[in-house]
Amino acid sequence: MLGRDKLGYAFAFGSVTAIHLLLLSRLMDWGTNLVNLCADLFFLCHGLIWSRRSKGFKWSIYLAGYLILFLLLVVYAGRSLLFPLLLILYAAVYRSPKLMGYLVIFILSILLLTPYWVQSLITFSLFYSVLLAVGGARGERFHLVMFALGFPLLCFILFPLLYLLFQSAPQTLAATLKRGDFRSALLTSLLTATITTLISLFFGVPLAYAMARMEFKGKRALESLLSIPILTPHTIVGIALLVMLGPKTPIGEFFRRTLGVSIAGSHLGVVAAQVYVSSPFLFFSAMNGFQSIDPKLERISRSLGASPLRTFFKVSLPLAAPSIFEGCVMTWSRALSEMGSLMVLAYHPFTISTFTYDVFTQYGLSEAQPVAILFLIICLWIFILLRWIREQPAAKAFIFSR
Amino acid sequence: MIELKGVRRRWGGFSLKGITLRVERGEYFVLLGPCGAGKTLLLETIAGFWRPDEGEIWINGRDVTHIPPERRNVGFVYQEYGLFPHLSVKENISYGLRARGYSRKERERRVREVVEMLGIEELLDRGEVGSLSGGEKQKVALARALAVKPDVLLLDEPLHSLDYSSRERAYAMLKEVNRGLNLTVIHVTHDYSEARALAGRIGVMNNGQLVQVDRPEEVFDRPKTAFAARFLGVENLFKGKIKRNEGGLLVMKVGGLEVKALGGGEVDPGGICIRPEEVRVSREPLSLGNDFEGVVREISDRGAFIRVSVDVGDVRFISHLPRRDFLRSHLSVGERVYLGFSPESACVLIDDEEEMDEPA
Repeated sequence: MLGRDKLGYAFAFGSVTAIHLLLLSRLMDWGTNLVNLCADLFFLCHGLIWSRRSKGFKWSIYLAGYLILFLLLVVYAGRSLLFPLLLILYAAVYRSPKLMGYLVIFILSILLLTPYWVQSLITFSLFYSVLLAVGGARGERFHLVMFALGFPLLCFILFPLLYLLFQSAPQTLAATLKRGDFRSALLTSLLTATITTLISLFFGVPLAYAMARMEFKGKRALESLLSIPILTPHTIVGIALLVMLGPKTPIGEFFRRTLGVSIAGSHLGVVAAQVYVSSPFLFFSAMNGFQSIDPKLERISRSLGASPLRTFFKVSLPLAAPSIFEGCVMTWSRALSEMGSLMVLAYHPFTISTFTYDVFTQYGLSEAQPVAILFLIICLWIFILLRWIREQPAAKAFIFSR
Repeated sequence: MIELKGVRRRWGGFSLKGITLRVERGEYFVLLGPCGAGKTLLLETIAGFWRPDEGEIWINGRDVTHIPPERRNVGFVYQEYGLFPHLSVKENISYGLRARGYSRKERERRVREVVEMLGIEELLDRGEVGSLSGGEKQKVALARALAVKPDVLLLDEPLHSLDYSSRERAYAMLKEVNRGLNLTVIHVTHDYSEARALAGRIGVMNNGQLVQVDRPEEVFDRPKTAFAARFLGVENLFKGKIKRNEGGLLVMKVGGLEVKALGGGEVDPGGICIRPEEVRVSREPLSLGNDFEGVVREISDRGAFIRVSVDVGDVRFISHLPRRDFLRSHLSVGERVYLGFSPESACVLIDDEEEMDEPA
C-alpha cells in the first residue's frame, strides 16, 4: 500500500513538473513558468496532504476550485501573474470555509470592482465578518430572521462612512493634516469637547444621583424638561443661548465688563453651547446607572458604618461607573459633532464641524472631503481606543476604584 | 437590647401602626407574618434606614431614634444578601471595618476571627462574589455584618433562598452566633417552621401591627387572634358564642355543636380554633372531652401526615392523622367515624375580622 502511494505521489509531482518544463515553457517566459510551477506544486502538495483520508468528492471540489480560478483570472481577466498568488492562497485556506469567504470577496472585488477594490474588499469583508459572527451565534432561527430584517439599516449606516474613508488619496490627507486652520479647528474641537465633558461630569453626576434617589412632586416633569436640549432643533437652542448670553444681554455684558471676554463667538461660547446640548446624555446615562443599583446595597453600607458620602464613593459611584463612562463618551462625541447651536452662538472659533461646513460652502465637496475623512478617522480611532481601554482589567479596576 | 416605643410611620398607603416591643439582650426574636405585613419596614426602621414619624427606638439603653444608621452599630442581612458585586469576598467582609477606620492589621485579625467562627476560611480566596452559591453568599453577608461586632443583628428573611438541607445547617449556625456572642437578634420570616426552629420569642405581625408576642409554644398552641391562628397553620377556625362556664371550661356554641374549650376569659371571644394535629379520628368511640360522630368527606395524602375532613352536622373538621395511625384505621370516604379533641387543644380567639368558618 505504502509503496503504491509513494509511487502515485512521485508520478503526480513528476507529471506536473514535466508539463511545465515541456509544454508551458513555450507559452511563457521562464520566470513566470517557474512561479507557476511552484504554485502548482504547492497546490498539489496541499491537496495530497488533505485528501489523504477523504478521497474522491473533496478532491474533485479542490480541483474544481483550480479550474474556476484559472478560468476567472487567466481566461476571463487575463491576469496570469495574479493567478499563482491566488492559487497559493486558495490552497492555504481551502480547509477553512470562513477564510475561503474572504478569499472569494477578495477575488470578486479585484475582478469586478477593480478601481475600488480596496474599499470594497474592506467593506464587504466587514459585512461578511458580521454575518459570520451572527450566523455562528447559536440560537433561535427567529432571531436570525429579525437580524436579516434589520440588516439593510446596518448597511445604510455603515456604507457611506466606510465609502467616504477611501475617497481621498493619502497624499491629500497628509496635505490637509498640515493645514494650520485644520489643526486649530481640530484642537478647538477636542479641547472644547473635553472641557464640556468635564463640566457635565462635575455637575451632571450629583444631579443624576439626587434625581435617582429622591422622590418629589413633579420629578417626572423635571426629567422631561431636562431632555429638551435633545429634542429641540439645535439652531433654536443656539438662538435661546444667544438671547440669554449674547453681547447685548445682561449676562453677556457682565462677562465683557468684569472678565473682558465675550461669550458669543469665543471658546466660552462654544463650550456653553456644547454643554447645553450634550450634558443631558451624561445626566440620563448616569441616572439610569444609579437607578439600577439596588438601594439595599447603600443601606447595607450605611449600617456597616459608612457615612452617606463614603457610601456614595465606595458603592454607588463604582457601581454606576460603567454607565457614567458610557455617558461621558456620548457627551463627548455629541459635543464634538455639535453644529447647529454653534452656527448661531459661536461660528468662530471654528470647531471641526463648523470648519468642514465653512470649507464646503466656500470651496465645495472636493475640498471638504479630506477634512471630513481625517476627522472621521481621528474619531473612530479615539472611540476604538476608549472601548479598548474600558475592556482592560486594569481600567475596570480603576473605574471600580478598588 | 432593643426597645420600640409606639413606633409609627407611613409609606404611601401602608403604615406601621404604633409598634411597642422590647427585645432583651441575647434574645433570639422572630418577627413572623405574611408578605406585606410590614416586617421588613419595621426592621429597616430599627436599623435607621427610615425615621419613624412618631415613637422612639432604643438600642442598648441609647435613644437612637434620630441617629443615622452608620452610628447605630447594627448588623443587617437582607434576603438577597446584598453583597457588593464590585468587591471581592474579603473586601466585602472587611468593608465595615474599613469604613470604621481600623488599621490593616486589625482588619485582618477581625476578618480571620469571624471567618473562622462561621467556617468559611476557604471563601476568602474566592475573588468574585458572583460565583458564590446561595448558602455561601448568606454566610459572607453574615460575616460582613458580624465583623464590626454589632450590638444587634437584624436578619431579613436570610434563609429564604436556601434549599431544605442548607436551611437546617443555617439554623444551627444562627443559633450558635446568637448564643456564642450573646447577640440580640431580630429575624424576619414568613415561614412558621423557621420561626419555631429558631425563636426564643415570636412576634406575629399583620397589617403593620404586632398581633401577638409570646414564646413559640404559646403562639403555636394558643394563638390569640383568628389571623394568627390561620397564619400558623390552624385549619379549624370557627365562629362561636359563649354559652356558659362549666368548671373552669368555657362551653362555646359552634353551629349545632357545643364545644368545651380552655377559656382565656379576659376578652370576649368571637371564635374558636383547634390545631388539626390535635383532632383525632377513629372507628372506636373516643373520650377526649369533646367527642362527636361524623362522616368522612375527604382524604388526602400529604406525605408526613394524612389530611382527613370530617363533617359533624354542619361543622367541617380537618384532622391531620399520623401516617401510621391512618394506615391502621383503614378509614374511607363516606364512612361514619368518631371524632374528638381535648378541651385544652381548643383555643378561644379574639374576633379580628379574619374570615372564620361560620356554621349555619
